[in-house]
Amino acid sequence: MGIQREHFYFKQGLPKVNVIKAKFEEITGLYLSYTSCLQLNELITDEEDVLRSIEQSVKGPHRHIYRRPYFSCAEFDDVYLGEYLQPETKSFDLECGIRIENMYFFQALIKAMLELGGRCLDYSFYSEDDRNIDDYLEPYLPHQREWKRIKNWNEMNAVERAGFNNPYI
Amino acid sequence: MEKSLKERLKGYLLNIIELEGNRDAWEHFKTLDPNCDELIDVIMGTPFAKEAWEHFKELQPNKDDLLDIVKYSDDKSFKKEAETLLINGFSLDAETLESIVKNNNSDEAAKLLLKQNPNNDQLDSIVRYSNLSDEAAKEMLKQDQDIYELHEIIKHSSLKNEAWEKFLQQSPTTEEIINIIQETDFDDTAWNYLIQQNTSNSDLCDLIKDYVKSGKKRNETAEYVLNNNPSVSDLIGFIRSEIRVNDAWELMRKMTPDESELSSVIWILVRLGSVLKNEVAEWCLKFNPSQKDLWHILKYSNQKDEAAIRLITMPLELHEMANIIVESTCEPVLAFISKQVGFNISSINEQELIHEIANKILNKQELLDVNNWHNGNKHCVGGWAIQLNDKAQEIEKLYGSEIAACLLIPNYKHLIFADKQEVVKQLHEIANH
Repeated sequence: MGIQREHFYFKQGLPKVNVIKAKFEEITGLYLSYTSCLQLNELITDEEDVLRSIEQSVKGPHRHIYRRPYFSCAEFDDVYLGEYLQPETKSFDLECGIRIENMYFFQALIKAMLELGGRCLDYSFYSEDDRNIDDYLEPYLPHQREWKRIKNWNEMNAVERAGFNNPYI
Repeated sequence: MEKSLKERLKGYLLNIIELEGNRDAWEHFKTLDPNCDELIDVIMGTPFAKEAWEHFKELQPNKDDLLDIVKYSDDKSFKKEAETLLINGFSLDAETLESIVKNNNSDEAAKLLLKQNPNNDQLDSIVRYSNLSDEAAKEMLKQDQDIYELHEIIKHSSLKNEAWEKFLQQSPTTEEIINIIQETDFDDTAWNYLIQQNTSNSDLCDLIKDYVKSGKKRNETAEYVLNNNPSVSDLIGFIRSEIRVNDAWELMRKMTPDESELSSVIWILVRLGSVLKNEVAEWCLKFNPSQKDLWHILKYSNQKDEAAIRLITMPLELHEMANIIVESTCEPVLAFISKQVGFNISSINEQELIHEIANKILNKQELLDVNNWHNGNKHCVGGWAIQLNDKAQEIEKLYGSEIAACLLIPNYKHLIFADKQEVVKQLHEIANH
């Protein structure tokens, strides 16, 4: 069992969760849920010190800490947000377990991020600063098969849905 | 209470100084009698480092303060000046001197340390970080050393032969000898030793891998391995690392890989890409690649038709037919898939259809959406083909857009996933013929 991971970079900072949800729904027709440590309208860190300070500042039923924020959707497995993440963060990871039946959700979420201006970032670039970052960003070409095959879930037939199952293609 | 407020104010100002480099904050900070610890924060990476450094010295910093500058400052002049203040103003123990040697590459501190009966780790630091490496190495070689310390003596001192003898007495692994070749100027001796020991080609190939492209003895190793019965796996390493590619390929193509080697060749040289991926894919097809291997050849090489023809003889899921037809629309593939989905392609006049699509799109380019199969009244080229054929619409509903479109316009399937500029350009060419 391995991990499927995609590293993202948003020049203008991360989009709001509601914007991601709307874009995901536009692409897939499915409702996207997001769970973080608190019910905030921002992507937020899984760093313990930050979690603790937020927990202390919030009273009432929201005082739950989930160790890692994640996206969930219908019957698919959850997709986790990895690495250090705060509203001002520009780069982050999306991760999910490699289970082929989960690939539609994972790739559709990536497509939503790309449509919102994010770009996949080469793993050889680690820094948070902007030095030569354009050299490490992969272009988004929505006409290519990889992205074009991600249609609205309910408009896809069984053959098209199963098309996300071949790990070799 | 007054002191607490002052401390808090200093902390606040220090934040502003560090984050913003704000001069007003610095001027105000100075009036609050900062101590050495606080000034060290300003010295480390703010625009006021020089002023803070002068102020710091006036406060007569203690040994630990000065050692912090030696250890953590990025400014060489501060580090050197702090070292001088330490050596001239304090009685320094061996631990402190070692720290100065490590952080400042200080020969003066090394000299003082050698007089203090340094322990093995301290001698090792002198070997690594100062020009007094021979003196320290001489002391170290009087005692037993582990293989890593001997490596450092070979690397940094002139007592290489003596250290090498002790190194060999410890039965080093091939990897440890390769490290000597890569990291020291004792590479000739170490390489000759490896060869004399009949080291396997597989181990020697560590010297030619791409991540040590500029590594020492790379060419000699390549020459040696090529002349000593390399295996398919060894030759994969040559081609992947782009060294003696043609020679390696000449040897490989005369071999018969086993199942595992064949998969490795396809994964490493075709799937991950190499300068010879198409030739390699063609060669692999002479053997009996597995279904998984054929998928890689289909997607990543130009041997698509041959791979597709073999794949359609194997058990396939319906969705896998889409993966085949988007890569190859050769006659057997079209015949097989059209039969599987029950679509008579002989009823389609592809030329008429593509001209009809070209006329529609070129007359009103807003009707072209290359990013979606169908988007209201807009479609991509494949989407338009389906839109103009009732039977194809049924195929699309049952088997998906890709199969339907590729069966309709097999000779123009490249337009289905092309960008708008390319599509329009090619449709103009089609319309003009």
